[in-house]
Amino acid sequence: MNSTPMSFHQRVSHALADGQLRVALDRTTERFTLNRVAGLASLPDADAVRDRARSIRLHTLSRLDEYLEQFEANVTSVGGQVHWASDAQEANEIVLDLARSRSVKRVVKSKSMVSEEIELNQALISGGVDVVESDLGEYIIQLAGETPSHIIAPAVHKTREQIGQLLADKLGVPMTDDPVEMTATARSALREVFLQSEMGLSGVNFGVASTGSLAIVTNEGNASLTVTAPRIHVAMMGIERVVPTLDDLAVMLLVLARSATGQKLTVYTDLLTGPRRGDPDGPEELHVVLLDNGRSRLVGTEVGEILACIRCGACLNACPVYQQIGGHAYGSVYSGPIGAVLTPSLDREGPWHVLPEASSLCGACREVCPVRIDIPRMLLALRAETVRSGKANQWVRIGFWLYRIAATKPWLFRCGVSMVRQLTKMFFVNGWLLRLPSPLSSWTQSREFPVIASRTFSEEMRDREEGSGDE
Amino acid sequence: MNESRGAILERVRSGRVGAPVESRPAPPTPIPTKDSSSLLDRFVQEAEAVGAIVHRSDRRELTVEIVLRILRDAGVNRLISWAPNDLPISGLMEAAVDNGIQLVGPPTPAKAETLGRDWAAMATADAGLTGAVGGLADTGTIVLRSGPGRPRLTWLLPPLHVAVLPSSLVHPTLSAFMGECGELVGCSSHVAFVTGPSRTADIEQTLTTGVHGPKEVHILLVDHDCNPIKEFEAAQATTVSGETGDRMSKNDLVQ
Repeated sequence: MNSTPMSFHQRVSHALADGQLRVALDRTTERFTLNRVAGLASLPDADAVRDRARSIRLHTLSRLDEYLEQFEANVTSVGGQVHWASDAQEANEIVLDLARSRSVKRVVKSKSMVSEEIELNQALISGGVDVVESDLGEYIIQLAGETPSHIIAPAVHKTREQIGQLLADKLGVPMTDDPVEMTATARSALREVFLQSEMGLSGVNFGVASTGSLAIVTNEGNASLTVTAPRIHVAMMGIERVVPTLDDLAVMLLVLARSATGQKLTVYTDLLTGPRRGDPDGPEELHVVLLDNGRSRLVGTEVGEILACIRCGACLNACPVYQQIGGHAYGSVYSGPIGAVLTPSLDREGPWHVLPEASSLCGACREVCPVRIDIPRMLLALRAETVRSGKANQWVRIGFWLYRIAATKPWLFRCGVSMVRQLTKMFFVNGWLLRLPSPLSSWTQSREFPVIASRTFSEEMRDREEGSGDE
Repeated sequence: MNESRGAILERVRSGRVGAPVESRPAPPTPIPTKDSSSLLDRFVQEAEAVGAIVHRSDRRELTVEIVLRILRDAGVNRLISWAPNDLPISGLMEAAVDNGIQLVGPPTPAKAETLGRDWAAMATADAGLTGAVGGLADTGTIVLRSGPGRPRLTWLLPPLHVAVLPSSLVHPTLSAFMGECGELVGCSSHVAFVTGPSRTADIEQTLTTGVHGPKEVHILLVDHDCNPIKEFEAAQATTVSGETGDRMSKNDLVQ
């Protein structure tokens, strides 16, 4: 995972100053949120289904090693090949070796967060293999040379005018802002790519242990074409994405699309079990790359439950912080509440300790999560870890150190309050505290405080008690 | 690679020592349905809600007539069809040919071998003709599966897809389908659950159809007698004899 040169706070400032981004985020997150509510309402008992989905995920994680071995055995028994990768580098080498040994010149790809995580595209391109994204949103941002800003809507940050201009510049088609025309342009450009690529790369939504099947969902049908036309199919799968049986898969699919887009089921839900068997089309070779990259270390830890995530993106849409800053400000592949937990957990050496701060701990993410992951609890655990490891902001540490001293001695606390009251008086403007000097200035940058009351609560109480004693 | 395998499994195993094993939930109960006519009504309603066009027929002749009308109205000249005995009703492909429609693509496995991976001919088709092996009432989904006479590009490449679905194969939910026909998943390398036409909302959340797959999906929900699904019968037979059943369950940890 690459860090961007700007600091998190600089990226946030940039995002907040981007008017077009704010408009795009407003439109998208609101619609996704409303669609999700309607989608879940179509289930007879959505809460029971979510409980069931959660219990399937937790059960699987608690016996993950056994299910992975079962999954591997069954993929192999239907003619597929399983490759295990400890980290990004190993996974990239596996794919590049497959491509080279089979003289693959071009790879068509359907959206895969795992491949973003390991920066597979860059690895393939620098290895001399051409890669083309086929999901419309991913295709757009690939043309623009950018990265996805939302798990399920990668180009959410771009307006139709920007996309129209991009297609005109890159493909030489006439400029338009009509999504129907732009979609038709992409269809014909990508059609050639599907039919001429030697290798198709996909992600995996779920791997079914009992059958060795891969479940892959899309609305566009791009994954279906990616895994059908090319001679070789390589599926990138995080080790946590396994479910025990087809029955369990059916339960997970009940909540996945509903939580993501509000649909009851995605348009294309493909179940792939091994390479083709005497079929006229479909891949001749199937390779599944099982990626660890920091996941196995999380099993059984405070943040282990994050592995239950099914990547629906509901927590992004619900998060008041994501709604304001969008995905890029996080600087990581996984953004929003899930990203704030997953990113620092998977990549402990990276500059990610600040991400768990990007939350008001309001609990909206836990509320909408289809598998009820307690994200706020994990954010707190990660913040505590940051303090323990000495990475916390020094002013915050000093502030809390002072507060602890004051708060444990009532006389000192009272003195402190009256001192703060006196000190802040000089900053009041019309009864509001608008700006404080550094280091407190970053606090008042986005907050305004009303005048501190002339009397504290305990002073009021004392007077009242004395007053009532008089009567 | 083997090194990584061992190391990953070892880390996962050591992490779970002492961790409680959550009890597994009971399989979900399918949504109860009052009678088969309400089941089919629900299917039609849901399929139309996601943009599929549903036609109903109770006679084989009528089914053929409707299919020909769909192809004619769409100006179809070139058609990819599944092999005649892989379609739920006989004579359908032949009727299209009799009406001057040209067949493209690999209709037989033997021919497929010589075609290799040259999809150029198939890419020129105006329509694809398939038969569904199931329908899901609560989502309006049709279930398709690949096989020697059943190229998957049939339901993916052309702008128009026509699928024949025998009404006896409509299940209330995906869970019900998995419960009753789960064996089918092991029998085909590709089982697709298709819910309406291909769509995207990647540009400002504006819904657009036909981005990669078909723009139009027609479902013929037919009440008359259809050819049996050979794979399904074979699967049940082998399950009884133990062959497929063994492969599917030998590594199944869950009792």
